[in-house]
Amino acid sequence: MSGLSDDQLAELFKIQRETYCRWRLGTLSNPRVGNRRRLGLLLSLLEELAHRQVNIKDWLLNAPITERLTPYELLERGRISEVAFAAASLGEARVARDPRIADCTSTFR
Amino acid sequence: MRWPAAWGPPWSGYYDLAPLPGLLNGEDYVAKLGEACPVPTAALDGQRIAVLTVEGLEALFHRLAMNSLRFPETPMRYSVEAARVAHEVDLWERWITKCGIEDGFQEWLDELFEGQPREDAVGSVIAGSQQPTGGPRRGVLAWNYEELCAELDATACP
Repeated sequence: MSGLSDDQLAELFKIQRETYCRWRLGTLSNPRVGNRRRLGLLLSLLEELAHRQVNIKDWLLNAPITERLTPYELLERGRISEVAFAAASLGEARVARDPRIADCTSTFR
Repeated sequence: MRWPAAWGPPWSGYYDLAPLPGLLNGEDYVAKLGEACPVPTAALDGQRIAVLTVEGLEALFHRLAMNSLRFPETPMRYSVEAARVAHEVDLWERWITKCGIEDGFQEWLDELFEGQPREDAVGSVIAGSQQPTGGPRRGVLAWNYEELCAELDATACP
């Protein structure tokens, strides 16, 4: 769903790539409590992104959102709150400006 | 107060009310959000009847947004924020249980996070493998709750 490689996903959980592969294949089904919870948070984030018109992999890796850090780099640092906040504003239609408001703005300059 | 007749899941409408099904003695109640407000902790002694789960917090955020803004979505932002708030409260309680006072907890949250330890090939934590992220503990409440619990347990009380 994310388009990220096993290496990149493993890095988010601070586990080895082989461990992540075993999770994915179901041959290792007992991640630690923290990582089970993190898997749920990441899945919710990816489901949210899937509902928005965005290339998920491209956005995660190439769209700096704060301090020049991409969403993936923020996730590496555990800062999912900031990623979720940025994701919530993706794919929204721009609000058309009321021309009367624009006129008022120019009046008071 | 009791809730409106014939009201049920998915709890559409009445967005000034938060449904509390089965709150007391198996009976259904609602909270009037317009009358909710912060109160001193002491005022709740002997008065608490329930606390919200993380999912309950998420639902509350949704109702507040619907009531104020008619914003129909339940974005992921609400679930992360609910986790952040719930984990801060849980850590706060852990701090008070350990130290007996609230002093120092917020300052501890603002200190740098030591980092999430790595796991070896069999899923065991590698001691000393943390790498500081350069950010405060407060910023990783939702993602690193378990690691913060361990750091708190290892912290000396003020």
